[in-house]
Amino acid sequence: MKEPQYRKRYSLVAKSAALLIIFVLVVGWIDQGLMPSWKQYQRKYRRTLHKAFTNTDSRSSILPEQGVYQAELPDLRRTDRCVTCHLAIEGGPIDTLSEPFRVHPGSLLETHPVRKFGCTICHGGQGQALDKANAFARNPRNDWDQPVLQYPFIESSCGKCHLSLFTGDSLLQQSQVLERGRETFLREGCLGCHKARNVGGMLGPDLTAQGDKSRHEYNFRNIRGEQTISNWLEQHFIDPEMVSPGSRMLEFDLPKEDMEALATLVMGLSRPDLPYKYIGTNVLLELKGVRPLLPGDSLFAMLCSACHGKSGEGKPWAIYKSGVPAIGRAGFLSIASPEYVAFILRYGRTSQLMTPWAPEFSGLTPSEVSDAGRFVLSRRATNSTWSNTRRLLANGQGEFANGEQLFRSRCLTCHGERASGGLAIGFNHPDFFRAASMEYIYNTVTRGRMNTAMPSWSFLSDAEMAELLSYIRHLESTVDGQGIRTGNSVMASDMVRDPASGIRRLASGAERFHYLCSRCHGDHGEGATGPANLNKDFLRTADDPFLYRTISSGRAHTPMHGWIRQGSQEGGIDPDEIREIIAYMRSTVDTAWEYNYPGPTLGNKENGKTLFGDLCAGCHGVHGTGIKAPSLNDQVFLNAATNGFLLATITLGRVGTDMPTWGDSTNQHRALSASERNDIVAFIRGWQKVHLPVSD
Amino acid sequence: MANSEPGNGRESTRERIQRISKSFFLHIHSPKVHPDSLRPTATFGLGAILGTLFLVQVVTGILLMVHYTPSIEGAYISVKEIIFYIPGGRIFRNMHRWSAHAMVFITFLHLFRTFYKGAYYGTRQTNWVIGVVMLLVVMGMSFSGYLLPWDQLAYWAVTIGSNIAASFSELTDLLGISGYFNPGGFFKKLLLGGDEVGQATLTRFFTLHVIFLPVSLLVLIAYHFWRIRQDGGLGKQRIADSDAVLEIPAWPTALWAEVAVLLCVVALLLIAGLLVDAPLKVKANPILPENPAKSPWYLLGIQELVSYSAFMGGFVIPLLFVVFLFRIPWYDKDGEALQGIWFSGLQGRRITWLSALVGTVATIVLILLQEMIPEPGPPGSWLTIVLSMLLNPGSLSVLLYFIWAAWIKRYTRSRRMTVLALFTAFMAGWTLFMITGIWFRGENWQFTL
Repeated sequence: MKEPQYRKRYSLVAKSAALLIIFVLVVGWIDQGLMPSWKQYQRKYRRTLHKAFTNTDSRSSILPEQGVYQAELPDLRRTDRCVTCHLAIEGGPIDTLSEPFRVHPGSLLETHPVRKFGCTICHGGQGQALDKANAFARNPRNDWDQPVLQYPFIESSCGKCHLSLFTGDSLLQQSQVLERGRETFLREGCLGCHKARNVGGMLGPDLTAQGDKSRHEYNFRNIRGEQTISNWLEQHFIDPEMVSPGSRMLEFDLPKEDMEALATLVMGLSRPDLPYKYIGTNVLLELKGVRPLLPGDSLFAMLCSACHGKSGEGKPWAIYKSGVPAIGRAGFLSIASPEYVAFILRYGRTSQLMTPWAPEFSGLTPSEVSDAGRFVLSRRATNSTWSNTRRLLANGQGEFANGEQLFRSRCLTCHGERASGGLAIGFNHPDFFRAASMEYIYNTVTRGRMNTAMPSWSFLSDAEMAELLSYIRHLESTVDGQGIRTGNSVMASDMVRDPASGIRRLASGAERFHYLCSRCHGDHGEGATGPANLNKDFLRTADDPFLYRTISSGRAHTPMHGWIRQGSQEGGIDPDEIREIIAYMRSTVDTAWEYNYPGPTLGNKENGKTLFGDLCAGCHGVHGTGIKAPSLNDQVFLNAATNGFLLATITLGRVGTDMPTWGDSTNQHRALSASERNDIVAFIRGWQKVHLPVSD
Repeated sequence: MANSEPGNGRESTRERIQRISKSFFLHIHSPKVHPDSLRPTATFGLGAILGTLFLVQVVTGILLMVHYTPSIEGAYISVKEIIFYIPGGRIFRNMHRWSAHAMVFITFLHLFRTFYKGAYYGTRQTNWVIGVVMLLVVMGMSFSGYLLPWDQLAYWAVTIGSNIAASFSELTDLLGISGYFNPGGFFKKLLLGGDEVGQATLTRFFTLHVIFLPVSLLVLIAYHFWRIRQDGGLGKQRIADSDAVLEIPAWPTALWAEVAVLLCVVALLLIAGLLVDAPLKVKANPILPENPAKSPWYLLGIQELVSYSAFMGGFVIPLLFVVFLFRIPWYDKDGEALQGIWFSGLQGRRITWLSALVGTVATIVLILLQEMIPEPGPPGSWLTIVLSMLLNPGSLSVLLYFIWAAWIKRYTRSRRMTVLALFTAFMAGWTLFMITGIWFRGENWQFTL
């Protein structure tokens, strides 16, 4: 090509490109400089006001000038330009316009003025932006973490500064959804697995700052529908395992309003990175762990009810694969001692999802932990009183035939035919009846002997108790009166204790107990070949005359011989010494032993192994790991449960669950004899490898 | 002298010289150019495009720099201010980003053009070396600028890049001498100003990006232009008859050509800046890594190679390639006769085609094989590391390229052909690794389709 042609061609290209550049610049200037949406909105607002206010004098003062309006908030590390378009947010000449010229509803802006708070701290969104899409930041592929929140989730922002989780805050009364969410959160027992504000379980993640998490810290892979945090949370409550594969969280089936409220609450749980002057004092205190003590029933609802059920009904093994014990049912409450409950509360269960509630793990105070335990046991129903029963008994109302029925159905499996003994003491004994009063028997039956195999039968009614007692009275009348009386009848009046010398006596009472009694009754009175006589329920039930008579006269034909010195005979002890022993026994009611002593292990492990394999392993697993039934080789369980607990459970089963009553024969299985039950307990006891202390 | 008009033959020598020396245009351009240089397909105007891009970068860069805050607390916010608040900010930020990508891409195209036309013989050897150095500087400019927005994309890309810089430590770790001799760790620390990407890194990169590298580039550009004049203009064919007959004045045609290139490029960039937004993710979060974390596209080829073996992919192979590039003008002794001819003729064209094919197919096969064969030996053991160094798609394909080039050498007995083969195979493989890194690597660097 020749030079002139090149020159023409290139100059043409250059000139066209120049024109194109000018054109693009003009278009760009119009689009970006004249027509950005915020300028259009401002023009629209001015036009609206212009039309509405025809008086030219006042008009010029109310028309806003064109320009970018912003609230610069270095404390909050942001600059919010929302008011550039939302020109009437703090009030304008006309308050009936539609978005974006609406006036802020309610009186919130009086306490939260825009120049101090901006807008995005509550509403979310990108304050620096000047166009709607970027400001709202709702597109999940957007580059901004906090989208503008829609109602009702906007109420979560109130939580940042004002949410006291454990006590309400009157300031939050207007935020009804958040308040409802807080109530739902505490009612449904979320803190049973999650920690929030220093209180809660250790199984799930800590939720204290959950509301601060951005969209990018959630995994939306399995979320259908809106890709927002509120939707993620709601779906998570409905089916946690689908949303977070591998999660063991329970499914919650709540009405829609509760779900939304709960999501709002979770989004409002925050440890805000704001200057302290913005945050309520109660929130700051709560974040540091300062809060009022919580009562037992609140604690149960907050911490236990999600798994154990609102009334302690537990979760069935068939539906929920690890099952949750029913701690509100009579079967459990009748044999669970305070020591058992306190132990489990402290340590949790190593093999199950029961988290330890000891103060160092749960954030509760020691008194709150024991209050919770007390609340659990307070569910034990007491359907009779001694005064009523005595009255019924005195009136002769109480067919002992019915009582005999009761006895055969409930007591015979341990106490044997006509109370002649078996797994438990045979009390069909003249020496027993000489020592024991009807009140003693009543108290023993209704209180039980916690930590031994004797459950509490407090759910029996007055009429039933009267019938039972009349049967026992009948037994008393038929007892062979030729019991060997082993000692003088020492009158109860001699039982007056001398308080002044109590302390001196105590020491030797302890030694005497140790040397004379512990061989049969156990070093800590937990029972060996003889009954547990330092058992707290026993000591509460037995009065001094009972103890004195039993110790001095003994029980004929049993290893318990009378201890009273007969004349100048060698062996035997003085009445004073007996009183010292009794004083020592009484003093142990308030001491806590270091370990939960399991009591006598009387059975044969080998036999027990065979029996366990045949009868129990199908549900409990060959090694007690638990398949469709609780695990029995859990070290915490073995330390908490005494042999008596195990015996009672095996004998009586657990009503309402699949645990059969092995003490009675049914269509499905035969009854286990006392020795067989003891053998199984011995086998189970063999799994205990460590001795955990009751407290530090 | 009176009546001294230009071109009327009665100008004095002094006047004629002054006419040239007083003119800025004629200072940089020779007064006469060969018509070949004016043909668009001679060079595709790539050098001129690059010059324009550099100019655009400087102008938009200064506009950006005025509003940017180089601190880790303020960087992201200041970039948002530029996008939302500064009038036209969105547009010139986009222009800056797109012209940066274009610059890297076109530098490679310019490298190809110069190479395939054989514009590196004789005195042009120096200019070739300067060009390769400028390629590295341009990549450095792009990389240092990548960090400045301080978003997730930037932070993790630079984290990856810094770990690639530490590639040598794979060898020193294997030999257990990293305690005494650790150039990998040294380079990483030099780059980051610390152990991890932080304020020191940002300051360092900012200084590099706005002062050191642009000034270096400016000096190199000036030298590059000067050398073009020293070397007698653009590399072109030797023709039998006298060149003087075919030359035409540079003014004004060459000027129009360059102005046309400049204006077209600026127009395209303006349109791109208006219509397509440069990416920006959320603010950098050191505890929330991107998955997959990817370095910028021009480094993804290296990242892919590094995913096989850090030492080979991050150190040996790039070093081999750069050394090869520098070496080309001195190794190729027999191609000068055919300089200025695309691919040095038909044979060269065929060999280039074949090498591209060989490079592509071999690399694809090796990458696919890599996906199918499990790791040899227990992970982390001495054996596994050595085997993965030697038997990975990167090392094996480079080995293959060398074998191919050696075969071509034996077959053609021409160094130019050898160099053509090796270069093409290398670039084909490089492109494929880059494509794999961009489009076929998903979460956890898994091969996804």
